[in-house]
Amino acid sequence: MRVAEPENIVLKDVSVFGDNTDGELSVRLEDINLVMAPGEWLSVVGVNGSGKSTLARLLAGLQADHVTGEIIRGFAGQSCPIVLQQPKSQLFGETPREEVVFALQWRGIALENINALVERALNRTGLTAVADSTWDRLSGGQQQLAAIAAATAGETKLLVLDEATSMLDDSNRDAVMRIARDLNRNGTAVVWVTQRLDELEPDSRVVAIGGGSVIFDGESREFLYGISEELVEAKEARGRRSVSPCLRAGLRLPYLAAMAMELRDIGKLNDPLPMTALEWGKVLENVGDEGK
Amino acid sequence: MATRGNRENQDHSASETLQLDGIRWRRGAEKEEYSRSTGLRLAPGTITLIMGPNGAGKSTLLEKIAGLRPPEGLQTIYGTEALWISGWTGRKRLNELALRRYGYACQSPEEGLFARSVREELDYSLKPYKVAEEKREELRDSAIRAVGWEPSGWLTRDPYQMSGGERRRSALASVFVTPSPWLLLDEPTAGLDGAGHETVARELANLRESGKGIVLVSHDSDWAMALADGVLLLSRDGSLRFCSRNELLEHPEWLEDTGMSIPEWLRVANLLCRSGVSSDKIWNPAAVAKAWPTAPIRSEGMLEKVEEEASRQSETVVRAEKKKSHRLKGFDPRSVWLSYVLISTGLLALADWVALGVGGLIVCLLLYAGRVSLKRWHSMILSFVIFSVLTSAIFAWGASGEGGAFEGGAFLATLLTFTRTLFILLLGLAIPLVMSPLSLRRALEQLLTFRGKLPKRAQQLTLIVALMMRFVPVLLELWERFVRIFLSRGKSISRNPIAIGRRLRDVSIPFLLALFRLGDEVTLALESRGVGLDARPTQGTRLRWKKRDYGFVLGALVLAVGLWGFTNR
Repeated sequence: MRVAEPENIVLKDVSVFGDNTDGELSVRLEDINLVMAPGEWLSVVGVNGSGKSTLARLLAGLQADHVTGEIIRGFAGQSCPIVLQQPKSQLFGETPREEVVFALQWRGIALENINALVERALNRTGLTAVADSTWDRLSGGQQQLAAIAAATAGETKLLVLDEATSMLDDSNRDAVMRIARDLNRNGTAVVWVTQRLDELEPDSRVVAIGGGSVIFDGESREFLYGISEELVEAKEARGRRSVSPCLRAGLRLPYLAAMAMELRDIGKLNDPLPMTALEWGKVLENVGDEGK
Repeated sequence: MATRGNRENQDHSASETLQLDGIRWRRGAEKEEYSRSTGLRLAPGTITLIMGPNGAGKSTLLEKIAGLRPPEGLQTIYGTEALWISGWTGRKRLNELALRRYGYACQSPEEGLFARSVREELDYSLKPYKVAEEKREELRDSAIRAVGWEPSGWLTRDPYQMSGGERRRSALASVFVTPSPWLLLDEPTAGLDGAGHETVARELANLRESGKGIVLVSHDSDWAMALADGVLLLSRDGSLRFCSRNELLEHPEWLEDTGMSIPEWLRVANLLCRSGVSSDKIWNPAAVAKAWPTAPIRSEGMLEKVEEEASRQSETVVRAEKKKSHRLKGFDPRSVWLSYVLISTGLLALADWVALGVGGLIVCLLLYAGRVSLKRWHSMILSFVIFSVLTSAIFAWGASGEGGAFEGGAFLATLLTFTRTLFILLLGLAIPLVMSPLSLRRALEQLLTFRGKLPKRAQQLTLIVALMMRFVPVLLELWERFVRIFLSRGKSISRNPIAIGRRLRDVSIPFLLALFRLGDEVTLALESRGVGLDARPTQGTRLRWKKRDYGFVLGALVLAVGLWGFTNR
C-alpha cells in the first residue's frame, strides 16, 4: 500500500451493511482498504452485486446507512458528483443548459457567475451546439455528457461514474470516456466503475471487487493476464486459467484477451500481452519473430 | 371451429419459420443479393443477432416482432400464424395463437418478476399453454438446469431474496420454460458474470440444436457473434441489412454504415481472417491460437485508425427526427398557469348540461389548438370516467334513502360535478406535456417570492412540484414497460374485467418495485448535486412578461367570463 499523504482519500477497514428484506443487516462491503490520490484515475470493476456500486457511492461521499471503519475524505471534500447508469433518473431539466443551471444553482453559485460557468461546462463536454435541445433529440451518450456537465460545472476534485456507459454503444461510449479523460488530465480525480473490460486503459490502476472485498488492486494488464511468475507456479499447481484476476473476479474475459492468453499458453506470445488495437497491430506485424 | 381447435392443440414447440415482411432493406453498392424486395425468412434452428447503434431501434424492432408495439408496416408471421389479424370490426388486433409462438425476455427481465417462488414464475409463463402436468414438470426442470441450477432447492426459492445475478437467472429460466418455437431475447447477458455468459451461450446453442429459432439483441458483440448464424444490421434511418456472421467478419465496414464503430476485436479478427485463418476457427480463441499465422500481417491502417476514428464518431450529431418545440413553450409559464386557473374557474361555474356541452367543446378546441395529444393518458382518463359513472350510480341508489329506487336526478347531478372536474383535469394534464418542469418551477418560485426572498418551505414545495412534473413521463414509460412484459408472458389480449384485474395486479407489483429503485437513484443523484444539503440555491434569471403573455391571459379571461355568462344566461 502507498504511504497515506494527508490529502489522499483513505478507506481503512471500512465495512458497509445494508438492510435486508427481513430487516437483518447484510454485508455489502467488507474490510475495504483503499487509498486514492488527487488527480488519479481509478477503474473499479466487478460483477453485478459485487459491491462496486456501494464502493462508488462511498467514494462519492454519499450517505450509506451502516458504515464501520475509518474514512478520510482528503482532497475530495464532503460529497462529490456521481453519474449513474440511467440518464432518466439523474436529469432534472429538459435541456443540457437547464441541467447545468439547475446544478449550479443548488451549489449556491452567485447568479452573475453562473452564465460563464454554464458556458464553460457545456463547451468542455462538447454540448454547446445542442445546449437547448430537449432530451428526446439527444443520443444516450449526449444525455450522459449532460449529466457529466452538470456534475462537474462547479469546481470538482473528484468525479464518480457508476457504469455511466453500460447503456451506450461504442461511439457514444468513446465520447463519454474522452470527456472523462479530459477532465482527468486537467486534474479531476475520476472513479470509473464498469463491467466492460475493453474500457480499461493499459497500465492504469484497476480495483476489482468481488463478494464485497477488494480482490485485486493493481495495473490493468496484470488484472487481465496475471503475472508471469504466478503463471508458472499456477501451471504446476492448479491449471492455468485461475491466475487471471479478471476471471477470479467472475468477469468474462473479452475475445482478444482470451486469445492473447491462449497464445501465451502455447508459447506463441510473451508478456507483456497486448491490450489495445495498436499493440495488437504490432503483434501481428511481428508474427514469426516471437518466441525466438 | 375444428381447425381452430387443432391449431390450438398442436405441439407448441414444433419448429417453424419466422417471416418478416415490409422491411426497408438497405440498398448499397454491394452485390445484388442484398437488395432484396421480399421479406426475411428466419429459419428454425438458427440464432439471429440484431446489431445497430444507440437509437436505431433494436429493442423496438424486437418488441414489434413480439407484438408489443404497433407494427408500423412490419408484418410478422410465425409459421402460418400472422401476428396481427383483422378482427370483425376491421381493426387490427393481436393474434393470441401467434403470441404463443414465442418466449420473450426484455432488458433486465428480472424487474418483471412478481411471484414468491421460482416455481410460480415458471408456471406463470406456462399458463397460456395447454400442457399436461408431467410435461410441465419436465419443462420446469430443464429450464432450471438451463440456467445452471438444480431443480431441487431452486424451484422453491423466493426471487426477492436472491442476488441480482440469481434474479436474472430466474427470469431467463421463466423464458426458457416457454414451449414455443421462437425465443426473442433483449440483452440477456448484460450485467451477468462470466459464468452466466457461458451458461446462457450453452443453453442457446442447445435450443438451436433442438430446432428453436432465436432472435437476440446484445452489445457484447464478441460473445454474441460467436453464437450467431445471421446478423441483422439496423441503421439509424431504419433500414436493415441481413448477412451471415462470416460475411460481417469479412466486411466489418458494414457496421460503420449503420452508424456504429467497428469494435477492436472485430478489426483484429478481420485481419486474421484475411491472412488465412479459417472463419470457422476465428470464433474460438483457442483454435485461433493453434492456427496462428506464421507470416507477418500488415494491418494497413486497420488498427492505427481506431483512435482517430473514435474522436470523429464521438461528434454525434443531433438525431435525425426533429420534433418541433411546442408552441406553448414560447409563453411565460406564469401566463399559462394563470390562464389555466381562469379557465378552470369558468368551467367550475358550469351548472347545466347544455353549458357543460359548450364547456366540453371549448376544452376540445383548446386541446386541438394547442396540438396536445392526451393519448398517453387515455387509460387514466378512462378509469376516471368509469369511476365517475359508478360513483354517481351508487350515490343515486343511496340518495333515495329507502333503498332500491334509482334517482335519475341525483345520478345526473353527481355526474355533472364529475364531468366538470374531468374537463379541468384534461386541461391540467396537458400542461406537463407542453411545459418544461424547470420553467414551471421558476414561475412558481417567482410567484412565491416575497420581497426578494423565497421562504424555505416554498422552496421545497416548488422543487417537489417540479420533480413530480419531471417524472410523470418517466412513470408512464415505466408502466408501459411492465404492461408489455405482462402481455409477452400472459399472452392474453382479453378485455374482460377479470383479465383487467389480473393485469392490474401483475403489472403493479413490479411497477411499484421499480418505482422504489427509481426513487433511490433520484435521491442519490439529487444528493450528489447538492440538493438537500441545506444549501440555498441561487435563483435563476427572472422571467419577463411579454406582450403575448398579456394576450394569452386576456383570452383566457374572456373565455372564463363567457362561460360564466353562458351558465347564467
